[in-house]
Amino acid sequence: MAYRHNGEDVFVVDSHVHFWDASEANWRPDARVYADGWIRCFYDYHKNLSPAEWVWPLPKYQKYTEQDMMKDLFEEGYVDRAIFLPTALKDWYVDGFNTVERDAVMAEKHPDRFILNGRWDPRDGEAGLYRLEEEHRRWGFRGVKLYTAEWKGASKGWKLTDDMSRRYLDRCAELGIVNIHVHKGPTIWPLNRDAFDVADVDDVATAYRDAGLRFIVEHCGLPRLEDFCWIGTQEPNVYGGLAVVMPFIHARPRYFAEVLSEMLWWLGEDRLLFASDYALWSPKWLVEKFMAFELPDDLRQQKGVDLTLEGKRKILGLNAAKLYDIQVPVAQAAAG
Amino acid sequence: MSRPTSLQDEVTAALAAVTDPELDRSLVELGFARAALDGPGHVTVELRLPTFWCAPNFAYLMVQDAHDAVAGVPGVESVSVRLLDHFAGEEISAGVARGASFDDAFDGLGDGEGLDALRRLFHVKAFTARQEQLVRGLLHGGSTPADVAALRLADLDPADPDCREYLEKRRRLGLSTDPAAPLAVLPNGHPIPAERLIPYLDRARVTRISVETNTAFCSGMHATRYGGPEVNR
Repeated sequence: MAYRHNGEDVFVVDSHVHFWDASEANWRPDARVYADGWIRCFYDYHKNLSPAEWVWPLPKYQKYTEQDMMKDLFEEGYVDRAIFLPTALKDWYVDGFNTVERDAVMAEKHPDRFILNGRWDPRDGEAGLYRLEEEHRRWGFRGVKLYTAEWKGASKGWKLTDDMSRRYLDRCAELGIVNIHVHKGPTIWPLNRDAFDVADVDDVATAYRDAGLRFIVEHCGLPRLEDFCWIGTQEPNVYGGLAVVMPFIHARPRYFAEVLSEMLWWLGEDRLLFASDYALWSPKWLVEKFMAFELPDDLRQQKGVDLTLEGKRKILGLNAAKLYDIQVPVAQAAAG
Repeated sequence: MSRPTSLQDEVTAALAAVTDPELDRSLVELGFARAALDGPGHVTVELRLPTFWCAPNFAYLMVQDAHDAVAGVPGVESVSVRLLDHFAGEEISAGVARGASFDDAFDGLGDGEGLDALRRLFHVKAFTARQEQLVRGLLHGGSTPADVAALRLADLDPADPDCREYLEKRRRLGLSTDPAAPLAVLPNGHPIPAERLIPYLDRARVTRISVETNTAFCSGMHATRYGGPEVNR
């Protein structure tokens, strides 16, 4: 079901969704505390920022069905296309948490709805490079999700500037995997440094600009918003993914307004991407509240920015459509 | 009868002076920490953070600071700080208890540089957020950037709690608190000239919004996890 505004459909791309299995049957026996801790933390995010009527029971939250997802995104949630961002977490979950393979089943079944992204981890070395190529040959990725805080054995994280990371970025550029989604924290190597530091994004965004890579910083760099803004203003190939920022629109509308006005001022409306982070939150209420949202006068005046209908259309779908070469129906492409 | 009560009060006051470094707010005010006298001269501090995954280095700073603050109260002979419901709670609690550095407690996972740089980073952010608020207030009140650039610390109202808080952030960062020192300065102490003030404030403003948003989020997560009130700035 499309969102209609003044009789016109609004094209919606949900640029960050998951199809996870965090049910107890999938917890690794040697990592139960982490597998449980991970999904409980997600569940607290969900409970903390969702309207009460959108809070699920924990068992459903641990493992929801294909039908739940199709209904929440496409039948009721106004989403036209959804982009899978996998999170492997195979140290904790037997079959992984939200793996490329698991997402692929959905994407192959509903090719007009889902865009499947890959992932890589520089600690997988040469074997991982080979696997990325194999997966790309099979699924034709346009993007990858990188999670620098993922544990692997004794290691608690990695950086985009590691030598091996650059090998993977080189390969992405060669293969045309141009959309690099990056998520930080809460651990990184070295463990004593700021776990959410986004300085390495700055380095690689500069280094790979001419190669055509774009870096979508998930959650707009939260909790390092200020560092992200500074990078975003200098690097034209850096984008802000609004996952986690969006639900503030309900629970903390003033903070949502302040953060969004800074994003609009530093990056502008062409480099922000709507996302629900489903099933952390559901797109229906986020889209409705966002379309109804107006920047408060004091922020508009202080920052000299505005959130127009055209800007909302870009953020909700047109910007992501450009990054992923998604065909937008003519009527929906018209701004205003 | 009054002695145990007053020692408890002193311990609580000492703990209240310890901040979450990222949020620049008291651990007691946030509801993250509480202390109990549970033996003659022995204090147990329990620390509960907003998530199971809060960054272990940030947590280490809090556990260490809570330990040192309470141990410094006259009459306290021993302190144990327990970080509960956290993925690295046991390692961190045990590390601080034996006086280990972060790098020793997480053998091989640090770069040997410890947490000093991280601590300074948070001090800079806290200072920046406070200074932005103070200077923004002056501009709202009609001062020009040139007026602000000419101000000295002596021009602040020492009775204003915001000013006292600001001076405390300067002191913590090792910046001059001499009444003749310029007011608007960079974290390295260099004065901000009038023509650089507005661009400086544009950047500092995001730092403040970031600290405030993180506070709202972390406080909300803590309330969701444990019940209790949320904190707003």
